[in-house]
Formats: sequence, C-alpha cells, structure tokens
Amino acid sequence: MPNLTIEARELVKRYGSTLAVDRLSFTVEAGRVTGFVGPNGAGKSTTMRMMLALDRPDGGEALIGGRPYTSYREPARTVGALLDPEAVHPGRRACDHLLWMAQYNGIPRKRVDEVLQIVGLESVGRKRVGGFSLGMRQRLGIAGALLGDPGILILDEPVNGLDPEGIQWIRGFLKQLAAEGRTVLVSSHLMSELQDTADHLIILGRGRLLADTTVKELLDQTSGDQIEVRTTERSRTIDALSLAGATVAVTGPETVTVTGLTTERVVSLLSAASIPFTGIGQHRASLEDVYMAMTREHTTFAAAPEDERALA
Amino acid sequence: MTGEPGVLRLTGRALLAEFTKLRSVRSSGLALLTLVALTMLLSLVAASLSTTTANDAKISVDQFHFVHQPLTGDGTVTAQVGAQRGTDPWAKAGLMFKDGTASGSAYAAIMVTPGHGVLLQADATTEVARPSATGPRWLRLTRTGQSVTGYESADGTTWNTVGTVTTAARPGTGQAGLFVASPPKLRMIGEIPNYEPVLGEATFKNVSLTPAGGGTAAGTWADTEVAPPPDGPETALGEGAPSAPVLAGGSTRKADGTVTVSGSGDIGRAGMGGINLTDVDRVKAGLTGIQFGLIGAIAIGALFMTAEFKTRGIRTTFLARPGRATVLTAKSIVLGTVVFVTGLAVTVPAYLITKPLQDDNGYRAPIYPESSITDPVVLRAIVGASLFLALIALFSLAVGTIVRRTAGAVIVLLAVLVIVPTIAGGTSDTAYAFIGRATPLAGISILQTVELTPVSDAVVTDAWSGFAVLCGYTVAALAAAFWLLKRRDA
Repeated sequence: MPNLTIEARELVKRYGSTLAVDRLSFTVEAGRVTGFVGPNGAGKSTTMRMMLALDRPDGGEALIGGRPYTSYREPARTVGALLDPEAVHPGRRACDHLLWMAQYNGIPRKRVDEVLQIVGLESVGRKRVGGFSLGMRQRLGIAGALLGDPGILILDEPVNGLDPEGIQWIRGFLKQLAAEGRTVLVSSHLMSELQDTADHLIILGRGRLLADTTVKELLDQTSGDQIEVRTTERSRTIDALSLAGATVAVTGPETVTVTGLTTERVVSLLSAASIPFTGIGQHRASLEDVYMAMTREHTTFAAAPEDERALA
Repeated sequence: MTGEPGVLRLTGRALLAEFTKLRSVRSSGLALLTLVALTMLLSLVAASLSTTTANDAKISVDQFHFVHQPLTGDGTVTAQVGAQRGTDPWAKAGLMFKDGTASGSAYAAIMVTPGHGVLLQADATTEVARPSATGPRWLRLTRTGQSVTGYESADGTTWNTVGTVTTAARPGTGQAGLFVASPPKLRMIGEIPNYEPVLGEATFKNVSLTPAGGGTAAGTWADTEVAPPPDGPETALGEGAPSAPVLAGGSTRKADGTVTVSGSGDIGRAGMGGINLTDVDRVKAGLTGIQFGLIGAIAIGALFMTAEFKTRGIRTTFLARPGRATVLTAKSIVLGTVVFVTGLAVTVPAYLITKPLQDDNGYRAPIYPESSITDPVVLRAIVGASLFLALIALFSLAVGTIVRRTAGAVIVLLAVLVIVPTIAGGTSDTAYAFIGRATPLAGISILQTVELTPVSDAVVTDAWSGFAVLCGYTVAALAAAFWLLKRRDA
C-alpha cells in the first residue's frame, strides 16, 4: 500500500513583511475528501504551491506520499494537481495541452482522449483553449490532473466558474475518487461549497491553522442548545426573554436565537407576555455559521463581489 | 513502486513534450515564417541591387627582377631553386619566357613559393597550381611555339609535368631567364593603407638554357628591373591594386655557376598568384538576409519561454516535470534543432538563388572567386548561417527566461541585435566594428568564405573567433537562465 498522505511540516512563507503562511502543519489522509478552507488571502494557494514545489518555503517542508514533490521525476502517476485553470496557452488546442503534459510523464496518447471524456470535453478537444469558458478550463485542468490516474489529487478552487450541473458533477466525482481510496485535497474560500462534499476540514485563517477536524465534530462542538424563534415583534421578544436570563441574538429581520432556556419555558414566557410568534424550534448551526464565526477575526480581505458570483 | 526511468528516457520525454508545445501554437509558425521570408527576401534584394565593375578593369601585376638573355625560337630553361628567403608565403622565384622586358608584355613562367608550392602562369590569365610541391625544387620550362610546358622535380632526375599553357608571346624573339619577386607588405598608417616594398631573394644552381636545336645559348646574361613606368598606363599595379614603389634588385654570380637573385614585386592578377583584391565576400553577401531573418529567431526563442510566464503555463510545466533544469534543457534542444533545420531550409536556397544574380551583377571570378556548395568553406558558411540563427534563438530563450516578460525581452533583443547595429552600420564605422567584434552579432563571422583585402573594412574577425563570441554570450545567458529558473518561485 503506497503512502498517499500529504503532509505539511511547519511551513512558512513570507512575501516581504507579510507572513502568508505561518508555521503550518497538518496531514491529509487517503480515502476521504479533505476540504482546505479559509477566506481569500488565508494562505491556501500559497500552501498548495509550496506542496507542489512551485514556491520555495521560507521554513519547514511539504511531503507528498512521504517525499518532497521535487523528488518525483514524473509525478503525474502519483499526484494530480489543478492550481490555476487559466494557466494554459490560449492558442493551444485542448488535446495538445494534455498531450504535452502526458508526454512529460511518459503517459500514452490515448489517455488524453480518456480524460477528455471523463471531464466531458471530448467534443471540444480539438478547439483552441482561448475560446473556453472558465468552467471549461476547470474541466480541462481536472483532466490534466487525472492524466496519470494518480492516488493523490490536489485541487485549488475547482468549483470556481462551474455551472450548477458542473458543481453537481464535481462533488460526486470527488466523493467517488475518495471512495476509491485516493487522497483528495480540495480548497475553497466558501464552506458551503464543501459542506456536502468534504469529510474532513482543514481551516486556515491568516496563514495559521484554525481547525483540523471532521465535519461532524465541528458541527457538534459549536452548536449548543439554541432555540430559534420567528416573530414580528422582535424587540419585545428580546426584552421578555432577556429578563428571564436568556442570551438572545438577532439572526434575521424576524428571527432571534435564544440560548439558556428550554423550548417550553420560551413558549410560556412569550405566551404570558402576549407576544405573537409564528415559529419556534431547535436551531442547528450550519457549517457556514461555524466557519464565519471562526474566521471573522482572521479575514484579511473584505468579501469581494467574486464571492457572490461563486455562490450563485 | 517500480524504478523510475533513466536520465536519457526522461530527457527524451521532455523533448517530445516541448516539441508538442512548440508546434501546437501558431506564433511558432509565424516566427519561423518571418525568419524564412526576411532572410530570403533581403538576400535577394541585396544580390539584385548590388553591382560591381571591378572585373572589367583587368588588373594585373607585372613587376620583378629579371636575369635574362635572348632566345630565338623554341628552347628549354632549367634551374634548381636552392634556397628562397621566406619574405612572404607568396614570394616568387622561377623561370620565364617573356616577350621583351617591358612590364605588361606577354610571358610564361614557372615559379616556386615558400607557402603555396609551384605555380605555372601565362600572361596573367592562366595559372596551374601545384600546392603540394613545396621546398627546394628543380624547375624546367620548355617552349614549343606558343605552347609552354612546365615541369618540377625534387631531385633533378624524376620530373613531374605541372601543365602546358599557351602564351601570346611571339615565337622567334624574346627573352628567357630567371626571376625573383616578393609582394609588398601592408602597413596601416592610421586609416590609410600604405604598401611597403619587400625585396625577395633566391639562389639558383645548375642554370641552363638550351635552344631547341641543341647546344648552348650563346648570349650573355643581363639584369632588368621589370616595372611599370611611375605614372604609366594601368597595365600593372592598377586601380585598387596594392601599389608600391620599386625596390631595385640585382644578381650576383659565383664561380660555381650559382646565381643569387633579388627582386621586389609580383606577377599575376587578382585571383592568381595570391593576389587578392576581393572586397566583398560573395557567399556572405548572398546570405546577408539573416541579419533581419534573425528577428524570427528572436521571436520564437523569446516567446517559447515568455509565453509560459505570461499564461502562467510555467506552473503547469513544473507540475508535470519538477526538474526545472531538464525543462530548460529540453526547450533549448528542441528550439535549437527546429531553428537550425528551418535555417537550412532558407540558407541553402538563398545561396543557390543569389549566386547567378551576383554573377550577372559583376561579382564573379577572378576578383570574386567562384564558389561551390561542395566547397567546405562555403558549406561552413551555409550551415554556419543556420547555426547562427539557432544560437540567436537560444540566446533569446535565455533572455526570455531571465526577463520573463515578452515585451521586455523582445525589445532588449531587437535593440541589441537589430536596431542599434542597423543605425551604427549607417553612421559610425567604429561602433559598427565594435558590434561586429564584441556583441552576439559577431557570430556572423562564420559566414566568411574568402580572405578580403586587408584594407577592406568589412573584415572584422576571422570566421571562428567571432562565432566563439556568440557562443560565449549564449552559454553565459543560458547559465544565468538555469540559475534563475531554479531559484525563483514559478
């Protein structure tokens, strides 16, 4: 059984006075999809570039399958990576782009047609990449990562630019790859993209490791017994419940979240005060909430319009 | 895991991959088309527009010290040239029949030179060379009417026929005897060429003059300084020819029959007897288009790397092959080979097409020696022109790797290799000479096929030393490129 782990050991990367990655250590295991999340500028891409020997770390080391990436003479059979879907020559045909990558690793030409088929680009294989949409380029990049049928996959924001159908496809595809026993590391700056896909999460903020945990653990540890109340009279609700010793947080124009009281107690208090409410129930924190809370203080950049586009 | 492939196979795969990259983008084809079109077009334009009348002047040289006596009718003259002073590789000592003693009169002569063996000449129009016959020689010249046969021998016993030539010298009258000449030396006084006369010397033994009927010639030996009148017609040292004052020679005769003769000057004409008036290298001129064709080599070389930085495709490349040195090695080999082969596809036809154009325009023998594609020196020029283009492409690849941006790299390369040389060529000889010696363009020297006259300003370096300068620049730039590529983040 070959070693299929990805390991970061005390990785450090500086750009001038900015510490982009700060003594980052983690291990990515085989057989599951590991989400690599953090806001823009958290150091995800830099870390991935260091793993793949594109950038030189200022400290520490990254091992892939127990070895530095530079020790692989023909890495495609072990590691497949997609870092930047735009990093292709626009004047080259998709099949030629994949062909030279294959030739570098001694992979037969027919594999090019196979991977084009896998990612659904077989009909445009002979077209020049310059005319491709971002989504098509993502698929081409994934095709490139799959060329050598590698046991380890490293994908930086692969969902970016994909249409809803493409997003569905890649989620299923990543799960399938992990189920086959491969190591799959997928980065995203949006937790929602990974919520249904990732089994394990590595969360970064400002170059530091914030969490290295399973999705289930993360949800359990952060959502306490909270009760969500829907009401048109928000301020009266807050007053009434606060008086009874509860912590109340506003979570929407007509919703508040209550901590420290049972559901029965909330119902009786509201009834006694004649405050109308349209709904009451147990509140479960979404992964997104947890992530937002965790990274709020670690955000380097304010949300850019791109984020919304990616969400849509 | 099985063992990884060896270095050769890894490099082979990298070569294949980089070739796929090069052939799969349109800019490569465009750049190569530019290289071919500009080289061919400008070579053709230059060959069509450039004309000369140098050959019409019929420049000949006829100046030497002559020790002679009259010969009536046919006869044979024989002598052993015992020792010749090495004043010049083309210094001449030998035997002659001449139609009088005036410079420019018809003659037939056989002679030995210190550096180029035995020559048989007639009337400054015909020459038979025997370059292998070096060292002390016995010479013999036999006249039958206007037909003269020359012989040479190492020992005076075994004679080899050098050839038979026809002279315009009238049979029946004329002079026969010994002659010595040594061509003048060039010394530059500032920018002005100055020819200083040189006195050559040779010792003759066993001199005999035998008329056709047998017996011995009855005449006595006389000394004449054969030289053109100081401001006479241009029969001798004429237009553009090395002109030098006459240095009086003489002869001394010893009791044992040894004759020592000294004299200055030369005999022959441009293209004969080592007399060189060539001011244009035909082969080099026929390939002159590479000076602009190299724009295509610059484009393909620089873009092969800068396009990867621009599209960030360099990351994809290093993901596919983390061995960065192998990547640059493969790029260099693929690029060099492709440009070299494309270069040959244009330099060979350019040579073949411009040759007849040059003939029509006056660039022909004898002043501009005949050339043939099978001549090693010509072949060196044609193959060298393609190598030059390949090296310029490699230099551009290296600069592209160092600079990383297309615009920056191309501007620097065009400025250094095209724009500045073109401006300098039209304005400053000093600057142009510097560019031809000390910049990558010095590599054009590999196109030289003939030795030009020393006064010609076209000569810059000899064929290989200029080429070595280009090789040096290319190696240095590639070394810097390798170092930076390994060090920098991709």
